[in-house]
Amino acid sequence: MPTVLEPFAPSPGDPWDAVKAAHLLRRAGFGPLPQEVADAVSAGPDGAVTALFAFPPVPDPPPVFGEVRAAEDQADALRRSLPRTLLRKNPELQALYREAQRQHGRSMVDLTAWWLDRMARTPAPLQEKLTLFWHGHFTSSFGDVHDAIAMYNQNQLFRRHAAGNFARLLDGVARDPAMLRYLNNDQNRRGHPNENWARELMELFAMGIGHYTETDVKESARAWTGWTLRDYRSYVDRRTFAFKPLLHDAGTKTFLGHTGAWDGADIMQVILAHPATPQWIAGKLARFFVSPQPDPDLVDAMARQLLATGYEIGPVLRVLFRSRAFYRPDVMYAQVKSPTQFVVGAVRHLGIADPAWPRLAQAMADMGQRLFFPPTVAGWHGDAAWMNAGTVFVRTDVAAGLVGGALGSPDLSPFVSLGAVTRHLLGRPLPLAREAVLGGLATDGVTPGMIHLTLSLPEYQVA
Amino acid sequence: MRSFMTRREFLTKGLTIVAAGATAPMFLTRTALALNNPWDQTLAQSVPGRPAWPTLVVVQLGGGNDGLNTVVPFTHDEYYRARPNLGVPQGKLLRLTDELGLNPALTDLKEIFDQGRLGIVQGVGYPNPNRSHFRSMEIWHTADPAGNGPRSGWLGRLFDSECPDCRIAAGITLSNEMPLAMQGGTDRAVAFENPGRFGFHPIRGAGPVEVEAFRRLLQPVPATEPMVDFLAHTEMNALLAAADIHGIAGGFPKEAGSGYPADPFGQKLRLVSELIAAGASTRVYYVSLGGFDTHATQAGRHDQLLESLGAGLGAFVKDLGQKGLQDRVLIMTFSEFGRRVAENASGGTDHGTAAPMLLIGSAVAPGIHGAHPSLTDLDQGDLKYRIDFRSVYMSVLEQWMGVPSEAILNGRFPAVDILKPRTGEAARPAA
Repeated sequence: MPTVLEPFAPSPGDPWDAVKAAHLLRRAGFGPLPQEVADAVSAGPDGAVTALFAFPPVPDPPPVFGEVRAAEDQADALRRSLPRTLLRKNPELQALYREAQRQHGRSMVDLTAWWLDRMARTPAPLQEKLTLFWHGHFTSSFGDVHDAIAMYNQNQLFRRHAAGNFARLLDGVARDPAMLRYLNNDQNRRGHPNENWARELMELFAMGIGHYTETDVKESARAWTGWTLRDYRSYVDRRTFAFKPLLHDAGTKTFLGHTGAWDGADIMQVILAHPATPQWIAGKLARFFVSPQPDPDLVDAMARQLLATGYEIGPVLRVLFRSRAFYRPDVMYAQVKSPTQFVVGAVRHLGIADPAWPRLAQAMADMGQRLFFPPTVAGWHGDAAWMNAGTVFVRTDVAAGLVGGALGSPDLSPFVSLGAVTRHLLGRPLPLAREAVLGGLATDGVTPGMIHLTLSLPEYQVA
Repeated sequence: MRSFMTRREFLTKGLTIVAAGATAPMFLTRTALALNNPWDQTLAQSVPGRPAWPTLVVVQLGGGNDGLNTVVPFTHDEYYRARPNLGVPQGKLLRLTDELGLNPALTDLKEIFDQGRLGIVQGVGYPNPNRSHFRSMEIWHTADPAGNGPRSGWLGRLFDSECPDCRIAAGITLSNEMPLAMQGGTDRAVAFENPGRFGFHPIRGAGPVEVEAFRRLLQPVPATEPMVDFLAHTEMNALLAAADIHGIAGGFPKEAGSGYPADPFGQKLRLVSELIAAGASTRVYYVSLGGFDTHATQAGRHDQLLESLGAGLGAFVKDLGQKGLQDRVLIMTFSEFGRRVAENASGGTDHGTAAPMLLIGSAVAPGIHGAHPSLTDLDQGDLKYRIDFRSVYMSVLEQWMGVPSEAILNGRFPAVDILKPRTGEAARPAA
């Protein structure tokens, strides 16, 4: 075990306490409740970390695609009945396609609500937190994919492999219809290579810039030819991966010094064997779970751990969450909550029974994070970039809407005293100066305004 | 010696440095520094031939405006051949020159053209055009087609270089979302749709006491974590910006500027006019009009969009004139791309490339700038650009804003003389 990842050993001077347990649960989830923190304290660090990985089975699809599928079926049926030459000019068919598109767009609202609700209610928040991590890593946007079911399928792919094996997840992503469309590999054909996926795979998904040349991009793009979708003439076929030998360039390619008649699977093997890849993945995990500028020694140690286990994500995270380095003072409270974590966490903390998810999702977009629409192929920048003069007030307005009942019905019964407010929402006491200001607002008891102000504090924006 | 952390320092130097001097009374220091703000209107010095306080209004046409149906090259037969259904008949056009006519929905712009205050830069684009809305919009916002630089906006970099310590919003965007163009390292732009809503709102039932408590809660406290300290700073800056905006909005006249269309675009321009008139020291306003992605049944929709555009800009220009502000404002329109020369089978047009930019103001060199791109020598069915959009940005930055542009645009580009030569002044202040 590399020393930087050696386990945290509780001692009388440095015990496993509520502050550390809450830190673990904030990073591995969205917004722990006092009882969950208490359970993690009594479970001890080993028990608390182990409990994080008890993932439920991957859920059934949300019941939001009925109208989408009906609209698709209508368009597909008419298309099959029409002679090929009339397809482009048939106004009825065009209208059906537009209707199907409208249904896809509409169901994105429901799909987003479904995911947010799952984040708030799941017994295994780490599964959803990792799904969110992969969504920001292997980015695809509905804005380019235009298919809600494909976006859902990709989301499930991330959930299935959330703490699984990176190599297997990568293989799934390379065949994922949403990704094939997002990065245009569905248009990558022999003689007409499209380099988009080949390039981003190396630059953003696996290695980082600087470890390959433009020639490697061009050569691997040739290897990826023919990794496409089954057929464009029906919606279902457009959501199905196919390898098409006729479109594949079977010639010899030289990629990162290896020469052969490579196809995409070979390219992935070369990338996975490259030393930059475990470093890149470890760095992404460390920035997401540890701090915006993680200790390079920590990243190195995580990369070695990844390589030693053949890219298993779960084990490296267990070691990380168990490590002394994870509980260092400069790691705690070093992250800015993403809009997702702010909203889902506040919904949990306030016991909102019926959250107005579509409006909350819109507010999250105003805060800079629109789920299923990452802003670029590089995902969300995160941390300090979340907060500016505009987004601050979106957060404070959402907090007011949640506490005041405009965005769902809160249960404010746990907030019996100022101490309860800060323990419940922050997991620690406030600096005395701030506590004095809050305490001065009411002679006894807690006002909704005090809860709103606490949710608006910088202390609530950090994780 | 500054003992506080600007956002730029935070973003570039990271957390370690904050720990050293984070507990200093940063807000006091910041306020003191604001007195030396080079963009403080009261300190602004007049540049000969230019207004003391040049203001830029950027109008973004989102979705890809069909440039060919906006400024129509009616003498080119290829235009009508490529657009048997969508081509605007010559007889309906608002004739500008022997070659070009404005779409008939743009009567207000024709009037502005006739007054000598409209410049049209033809065939604006960039090398290796990208036909993705997102990517192409990002290219226009970052002014970085290769995508090599930091992901920041050209206007954000303008604020960073010219006004790193401005307190008030150097840029205002009239939407909830901050456009990438305005994002930089120093966070000097603010975004809101309604200046009355931009700010901290107490929960229903609570009152000004809670607002005051929030301000006091954001005072620096000793021995707090660097990120908490940074966020307290950011939140306090937001409060200061909101107070400034409210102070300005409080000075708005009771009766709103008249003659504006009721649509959101017109109302946003009305707000811009009020902010300028009320004395905001903001230098750049950003207003968007979306919906230009006319892949299908373009005819009626595009006319409506142009109607909104023309009527809104027409009312804005009139209003500025009545307020005596016309010499202080330059309006610049752009879209992420134009559209394919040939119409498609759905009565629309697909994503294209080069398109005209409009510049409006009394300083504008009126008329047509550059030649129309060829309608026969095409790149995959699209126009080949003639003028790099960064040339237009460069002229706006140097000739209008009066700042050096090379560092902001990461290079120099062939100049487009879209502004009238300054009177009685030879050398540019630019390096």
